[in-house]
Amino acid sequence: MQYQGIIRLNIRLQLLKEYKMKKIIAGIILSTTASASFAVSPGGDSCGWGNMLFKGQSGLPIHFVASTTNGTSGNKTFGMTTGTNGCSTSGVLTYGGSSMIDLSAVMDEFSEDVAKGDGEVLSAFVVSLGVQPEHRQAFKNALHTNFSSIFPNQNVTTEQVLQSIGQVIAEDKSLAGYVS
Amino acid sequence: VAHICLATQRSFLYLAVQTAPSAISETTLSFSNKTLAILAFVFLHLSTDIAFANTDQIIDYSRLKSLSVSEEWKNLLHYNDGKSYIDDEKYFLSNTGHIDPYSELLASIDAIISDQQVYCRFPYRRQWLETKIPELTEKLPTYSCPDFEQWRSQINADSVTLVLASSYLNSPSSMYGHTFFRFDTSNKVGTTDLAAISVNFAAVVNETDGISFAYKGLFGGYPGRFSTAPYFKKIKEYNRIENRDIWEYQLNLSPTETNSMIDHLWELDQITFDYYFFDENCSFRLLELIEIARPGLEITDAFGLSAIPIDTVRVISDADLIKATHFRPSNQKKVENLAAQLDTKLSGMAIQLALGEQKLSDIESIVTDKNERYKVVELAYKYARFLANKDGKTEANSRTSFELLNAINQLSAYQSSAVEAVRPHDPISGHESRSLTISSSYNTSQGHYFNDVEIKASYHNLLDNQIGYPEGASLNIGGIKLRVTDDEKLRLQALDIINIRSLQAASRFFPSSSWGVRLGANRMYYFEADLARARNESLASFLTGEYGTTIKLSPLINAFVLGNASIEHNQHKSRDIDLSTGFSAGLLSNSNYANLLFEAGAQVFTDKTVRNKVSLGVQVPISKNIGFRFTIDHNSPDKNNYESYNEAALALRWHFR
Repeated sequence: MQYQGIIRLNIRLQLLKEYKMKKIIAGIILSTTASASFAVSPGGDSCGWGNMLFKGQSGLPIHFVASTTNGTSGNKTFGMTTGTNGCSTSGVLTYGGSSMIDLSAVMDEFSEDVAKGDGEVLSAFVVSLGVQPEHRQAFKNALHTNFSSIFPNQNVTTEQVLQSIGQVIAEDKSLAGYVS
Repeated sequence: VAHICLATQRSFLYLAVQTAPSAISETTLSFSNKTLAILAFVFLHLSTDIAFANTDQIIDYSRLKSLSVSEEWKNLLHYNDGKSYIDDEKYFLSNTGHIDPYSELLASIDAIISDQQVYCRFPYRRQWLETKIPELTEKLPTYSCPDFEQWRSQINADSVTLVLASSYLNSPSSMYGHTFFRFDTSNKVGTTDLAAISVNFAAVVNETDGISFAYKGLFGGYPGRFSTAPYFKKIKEYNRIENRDIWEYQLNLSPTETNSMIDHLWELDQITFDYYFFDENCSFRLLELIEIARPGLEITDAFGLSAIPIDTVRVISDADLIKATHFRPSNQKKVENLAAQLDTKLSGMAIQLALGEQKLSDIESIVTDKNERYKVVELAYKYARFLANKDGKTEANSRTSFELLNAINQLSAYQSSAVEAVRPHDPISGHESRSLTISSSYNTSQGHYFNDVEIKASYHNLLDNQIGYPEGASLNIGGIKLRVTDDEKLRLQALDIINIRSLQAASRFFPSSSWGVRLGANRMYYFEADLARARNESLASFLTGEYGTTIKLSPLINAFVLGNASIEHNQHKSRDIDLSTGFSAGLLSNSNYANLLFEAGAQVFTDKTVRNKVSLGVQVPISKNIGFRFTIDHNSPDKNNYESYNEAALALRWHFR
C-alpha cells in the first residue's frame, strides 16, 4: 500500500504546478506520515499489552493487597509520548498534531464497531484519521463491508488491520485520496 | 540565599531603570507609589553593592509584598499554612521559595527576564506576573518556547471535564473513587472525547511490596506527580479492566480559564508533590488547579483532614462549576443491560456461547428470529470479552470471540438501535461522607440504659441511604463510638479503624464473591449468671477477615453467607490474645423507603468458648442526609460461662461534609 502511495505521490508531484506545490507538499507530509506510521505498529512489541487482536493485558483478579495509591508506573512525561506506556513514540499515529487513537488499546471495541458498522471507537478512529465529515459515513461503510478482509482471523495484528484498512480505502474511489 | 538576593536585585534594577522613563511620562498627575518605588530602585542602583544589606527593606515595596501574600500567588506556589505542598526544588527559583513566597516572587521576576529556560518553563507564572505588574511586559524579552507551544497546541482545549471513576471496593486505592481531568475541544469538528488528553495526579510507585506500599500510600513517602494520557486509555482502565462506571462532569471554565490551567500544568511537569491517600491526593490537587484557572475561587479550604473524591466533586458542584453530566457505564453494566433485554433462556444461551459450551450453528435453529439472535450474539461477544479481561486470554476465548464477532457482522442488518444503559443515581446526589449518630439504647436483660455518640470520618454502611452508592458496599474508615452509661461514666464503646464489607450479589454472569475486613475495637459485657446484676466489661480489639457469597433472592432482597477468621485481644478471656473462626449469614434489603439488615453469626475460639450474635437493623431515610435507625441485638459473648443479653437502640443518623 505504501509503495503504491509513494508512486502516486511522485506522479502527482510531477504534474503539479509550482504555485500549488507548497500546499500539496503539506498534504503529502501529512499523508505519508500517516502511512509511515502504519508501518510501525502502534502498540508494537515494546508495548505492554501486545498487539494481537484478542491478545492483551491479562485480567485483574481482586487485587486486594495491591495498593493504597492510585499508582502509575512513573515513566510518563508530559510530552506527547505520554500514554504510550513503553511503546515507541513513532508508533503513535497522529493527525494534525492530535494524538490518534491507539488501535491496539481499543481493539475489542474497534473490531466490534466495524462488525456493527458504527460506534464510538470507530467514529473516533475515522475522525482522528482526518476524514472529512462528508466522507465519514462512507469510510465507516467501507470498513464494515470489508469486515472479513480486515479481520480475517483471531490472530491478526494491529499492524495487519491497519494495512488492510489502507488497502480497503485505497480501492474505494471516493475515499482513495485519504491514503495516497 | 545571598546569591539569589543579589541576582534578584540586579535584574530588578534593570527593570526599574528601563521602566522609569515611560512610567514617569505616563504618570504625570501624581507621584504614585509605583513611580516612587521605581525611583527608589534607580537610586539604589546608583548606590554601591554595600546597599545589599538593605536590599530587603528597599524591595520590601508594598505592592510586591502584598502580591506575594495574595491568595493567587500562594495558590500558584501551592501553599498551605505557610509552606508549599510541592516537595521539589525544581519548582522554586528561590532557595527558600517553598516557605517564603516573597523571595520566590522576587526570584521569579528576575529569572523570567534573564533566563529563557525559566521563561518557557513557567508560562502561567509569567503571565500572572505580567498581569499583576504591567510594567514587566515591556521589559520581557520575547523568547520563543517551541516545546511549550507544541504541547499546548496538541492539547488544544477550550474546556475541561472532571471525570470520576466510581468507587471500587476491590482495590483499596480506588475504594473512594478517583478523579481526573479531561481537556476537551469544541472547535474541532466531530472530534470525539476518546482522543482527548486526560491529566491525572497519582503516586509514582515502583515497588511491589504490599505492606510498604500501603504504609507509604497512607502516611506519605511516595512522590505524587501529574501525568497525561489519552482518554481512551483511561476508559479502558476503568470501564473495561476494573469495571467501574465513569461519570463525566463538564465544567463551565471558559477557554481562557482552561488555558490558564493548561499553562500551569506545564509548570508542574515532572514536579513532585508528597502524596497522601487521605488528603493530599488526586482529587485535592485537581481542586488546586481549578483555583488556578479561576482566581478568586477558594474551594480547597473545605478539606482539612481528608479529601474524598466524591466530596471534592460535590464542592465543585456546589460552586456551580458543572455544566453537564455524562455517564459511561462499565463493561459489566453493559452486559447486565443487554442481558436484561433477554429472557433467562436466551441470556443463558449467551453465557454458553461465550464459554464455548454451545456452538453458533446450534442456536440458529433455536433462535430463528434474527433480531433476537443478534441480541444473543452481541451479549455473548461482550461477555466473552469481559471474561477475557477478567481471567486472562486463552486460545479458546480468542477463537470464540472471533466467531461471535463474525456473527455480529453477518447479523448486523438486524441490530436495533442501541439501548441506553440504565443510568444509576449520580454519585453527587448521595448522602455526605461523614456521619454523626446519636442513639439511646436499653439493655433488656439487666435493665441498663446507655446513650451513645458515634462519629465516622467516612463513608457509607449497609443501612445508609443507598442513593448514589454502590449496592452492597460498606466502607468505613475512621469511626469512634462513645457511650455514656447509666452510672454516668464515659467509655469508648467501639472503634472502627477499618471496616469494609463488599456484598455484591453474584449473578450468572458475574459470580463475584463477597468479603469483609475489620480492624477495630468493641466493648463487650460479661454478665455473671449467679450474681444478679454484676457486670464486667471488656474492650476487645480485633482484626477480622471474612469471605463468602451473596445472592439475589428477589429484586429487593439479597442473602449472604460469609466465613470468617479473627484474632482478638480481650482481657476478659482466658487467653488474652485468641484466634477464632466462624460464620455469619443474613439478609440485606435496600430501597428508597427503608434499609434492612438481618444477620446471625457464631465464632468459636481456640479456648473453646463460643460467641453468638443475632442482630436486626432498620434505617428509614428522612432526607438525603438524615435517617432514623432502629437496631436490636442478641449478644452472647461467651455462651458457656456468661449470660446473654439483648440491646435495643434508637438512633438518629446525620451525614455531613
